[in-house]
Amino acid sequence: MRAYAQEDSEIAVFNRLNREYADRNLSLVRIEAMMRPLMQFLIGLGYVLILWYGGLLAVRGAMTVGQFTEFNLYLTRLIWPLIALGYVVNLYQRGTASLKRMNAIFAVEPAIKDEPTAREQPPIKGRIEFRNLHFRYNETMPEVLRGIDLTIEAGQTVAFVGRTGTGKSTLMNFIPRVLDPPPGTVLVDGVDVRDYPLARLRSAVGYVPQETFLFSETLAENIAFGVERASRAEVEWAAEIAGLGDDVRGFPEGFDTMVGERGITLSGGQKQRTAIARAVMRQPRILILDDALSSVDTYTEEKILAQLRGVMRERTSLIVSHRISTVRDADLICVLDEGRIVERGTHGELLARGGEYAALYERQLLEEELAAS
Amino acid sequence: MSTAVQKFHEEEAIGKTYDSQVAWRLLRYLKPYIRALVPALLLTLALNGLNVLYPKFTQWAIDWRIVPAHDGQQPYAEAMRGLIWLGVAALVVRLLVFVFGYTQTVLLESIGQRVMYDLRDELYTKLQRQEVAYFDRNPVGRIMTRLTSDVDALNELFTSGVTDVLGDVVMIGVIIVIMVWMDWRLTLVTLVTVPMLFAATSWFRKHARRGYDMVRTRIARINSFLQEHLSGAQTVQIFNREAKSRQQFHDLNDSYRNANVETIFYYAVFFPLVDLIGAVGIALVIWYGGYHVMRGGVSALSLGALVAFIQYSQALFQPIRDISDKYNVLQAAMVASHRIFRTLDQPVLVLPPAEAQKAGRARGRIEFDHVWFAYKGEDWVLKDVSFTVEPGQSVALVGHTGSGKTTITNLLMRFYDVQRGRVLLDGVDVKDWDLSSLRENFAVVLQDVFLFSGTIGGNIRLGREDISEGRVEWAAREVHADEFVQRLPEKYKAEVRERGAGLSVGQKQLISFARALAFDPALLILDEATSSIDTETEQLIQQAIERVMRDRTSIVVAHRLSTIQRADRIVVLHHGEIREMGTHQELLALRGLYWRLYKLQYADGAREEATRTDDETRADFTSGQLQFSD
Repeated sequence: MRAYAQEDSEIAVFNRLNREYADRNLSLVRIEAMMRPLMQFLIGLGYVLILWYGGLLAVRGAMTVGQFTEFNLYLTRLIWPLIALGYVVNLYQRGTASLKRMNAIFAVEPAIKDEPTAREQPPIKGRIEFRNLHFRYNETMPEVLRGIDLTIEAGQTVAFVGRTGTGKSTLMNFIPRVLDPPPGTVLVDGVDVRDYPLARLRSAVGYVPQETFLFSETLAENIAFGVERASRAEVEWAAEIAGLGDDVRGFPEGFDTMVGERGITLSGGQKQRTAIARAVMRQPRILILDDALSSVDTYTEEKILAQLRGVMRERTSLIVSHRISTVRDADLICVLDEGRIVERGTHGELLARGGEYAALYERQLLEEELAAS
Repeated sequence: MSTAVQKFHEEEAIGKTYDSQVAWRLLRYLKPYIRALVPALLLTLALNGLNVLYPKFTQWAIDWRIVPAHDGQQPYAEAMRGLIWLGVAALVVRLLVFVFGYTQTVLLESIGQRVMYDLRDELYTKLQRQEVAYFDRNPVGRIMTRLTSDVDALNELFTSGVTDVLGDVVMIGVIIVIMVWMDWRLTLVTLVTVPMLFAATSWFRKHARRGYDMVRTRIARINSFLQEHLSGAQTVQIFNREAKSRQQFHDLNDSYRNANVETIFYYAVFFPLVDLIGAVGIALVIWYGGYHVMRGGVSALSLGALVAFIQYSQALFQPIRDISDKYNVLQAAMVASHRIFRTLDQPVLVLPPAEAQKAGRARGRIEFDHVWFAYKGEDWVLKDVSFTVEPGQSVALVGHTGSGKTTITNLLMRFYDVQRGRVLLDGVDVKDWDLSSLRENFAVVLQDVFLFSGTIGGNIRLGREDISEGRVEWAAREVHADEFVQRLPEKYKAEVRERGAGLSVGQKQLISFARALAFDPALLILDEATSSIDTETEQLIQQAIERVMRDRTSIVVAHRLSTIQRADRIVVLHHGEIREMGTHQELLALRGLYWRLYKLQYADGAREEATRTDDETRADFTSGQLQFSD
């Protein structure tokens, strides 16, 4: 805003909005101001009536002076309950309105929950299958995924590349059931993900989403977020794997440094590496990195990937990325386009094929060559 | 969590000594409305004067009409007529009270609203002129609170404070005067209960305030917990943390409920206690007053006067009770106003020149002349930085995070003033430039593109109504933003949701390039983004950068190699010093810092060698987030 020196025009806009708000309040005031005096007046009318009729009765002797006084005092006593009653009626109306809104929330069934078919399953090994998976977010939208067929053996590392919006993240979301796939299309160890108890399925998965979300707790608490009890040594180990060790040593309070609004602001790369440490900490059977190294420079990226390979031996890794450097060592690379897997193979195979992947590689290579010229 | 509490208390820890200062300052805001305020205060006086007449009517009815008629001293018809006239008089008083009351409320509320308006305006103007660092130190949430809830809390001070409390005080005074005038001995007897009442009130005030603070601290904790855990709900679920975070919330909820219950206890004791004291007062009046009525003689009290006294003593308790009830509201308003004033009192560090030496469009020559700069104290962020950029040239600033790249652009636009040396635009010190004219000469494209709620077109135009629709669309076409905008159902009229949700990072960047082009400034500042963008969008963005940089002086905080290579000059910064300067080829030939950074980043095959020979460089750059790509 200030960068464009548009403060004055913005101040004028604010000024207008501000005035409108004040004017609206004023017209409300004119009505509300009527309430109290009107109520006082009506009560006062009661006193006048007692004066007239009560006085008449007292003069005639039909009422004693004491009774006349009593009436006056009773009316005084009546005022507060009357005001309170009006207040309570108002409260009651607001209360029912609030209750209705709350009930609406209580009535919502979570869309993703333990299915009736869910039952205890043997420990997850990490074999993942997508079977003719079609998916759209809602009826009016086009299909995001159009027939994905893919089997990933336990312990494999599989990479997904492709343009933004080709369904890579959607595909990843199905595994921990952040999104619900159609029945029978996504299987882990040969069992539909919908047949796992949700907590069981998710505890086998270490997921590093595109957008990192950290909590306003200490760095150690953030890293140990997904485990019941964690020793400092385990936290340090996970941080080291994620290439966060040097950074933490640079922080004033090390792992006890507060993160977020009330603590230090981490750089994009540091946030991503914290999220990776958080996922690694759980020692998951299945690790998903959804474009999780985008803010990390290539040198650090390579270091992290090498360390992850050590940890993830015999565990399944899924990696989504735009960078060839990230994916080239994967056991299998899938190129997605418009919801389909258009190419699959190893780095070498795909280059030899000379298709989409090879073109992507060329483009990134060209940038590097340009640099070298 | 404890840090949150601490911060909360920092916000609240405002000494009582300020109260009178704050009150005086608030009065200054009332000054422009003195013409409405004086009648409002006169009405308050009149209103309370009339209000205390009511018990008098009862007294007159009894003493002048009912008792004499009863005793046969007055004819029946005359007593009736008298009563009717008394009733008419009472009715007239009631009507007057109604009219006065309405007028008084409208006047005071209007004054309140106008003062709120003035305060919000002053605050916003102030915040707009505040230097950038202020926003680094103060989270947006807190600033918003200042502008909305704090100002609203102040409204209570004007409406409840002035109307009710002032009215109550006047009422108490008038009642006591009338009571003394009627019978000073009985008045003294009635007032015996007042010290008791004060003791009860101060006990209550102390505890209620503590309870009130406790309740507020705890609801603040609940709010921040909810805010964070709802926006991070997906993370909570994926990591199976539902039970733990439910437990955390449960604990917070518990402590909030306990604080409320504790506070309610004091209310539950206080109000019945006041009633009890009131009953004691009435008992005393009946005992002492009744004795005097029955005894008769010179010091005798009329029956009507006794009835009136009972009513007065009740009327006396109501305002005292009200004032204690309002105390907390008033206290909160005082705290709010103190916070508002503190915001208003923040000095603006960058002041416009007393007499601007230059204004209007710049040619675009930039010169840094031995510039030293620190955000605080002697922590120099820039050390003796000198370079020049000729009109139309482009300069790429290269170096790792914290090397001072962004600081250079901040100084150019005079968001801060340098401590030593000079920054010149077209040969004139930026301090001598007309401030808004200086900033109008720049277009800035930042890493994090911020879109405002409004239309796409509005976001390109950014409040400058003189930019025509045609120009907006032309600019969008030039940077290839037009292609995706045309696909939107409402095109340039499409609403941008909060912070541009619904648009991709790349699209937001294209919009900000269109914005820069539409403004057509003499100078461009570009803080390149490095977020992951697919290769195709990346190419569109590179073309857009090239287009926007054409024909103007450009300063680029560069990450893309393509941008760096295209720059007329590269400035390599390291720990706030210029280490190397030249073109890409010249710097490579130097085989210095740039060459090493370059090898490390881009030349794949040379990495082995680079890591082996440049331990020092690597240590710097691996820990500190990298120069080209971070």
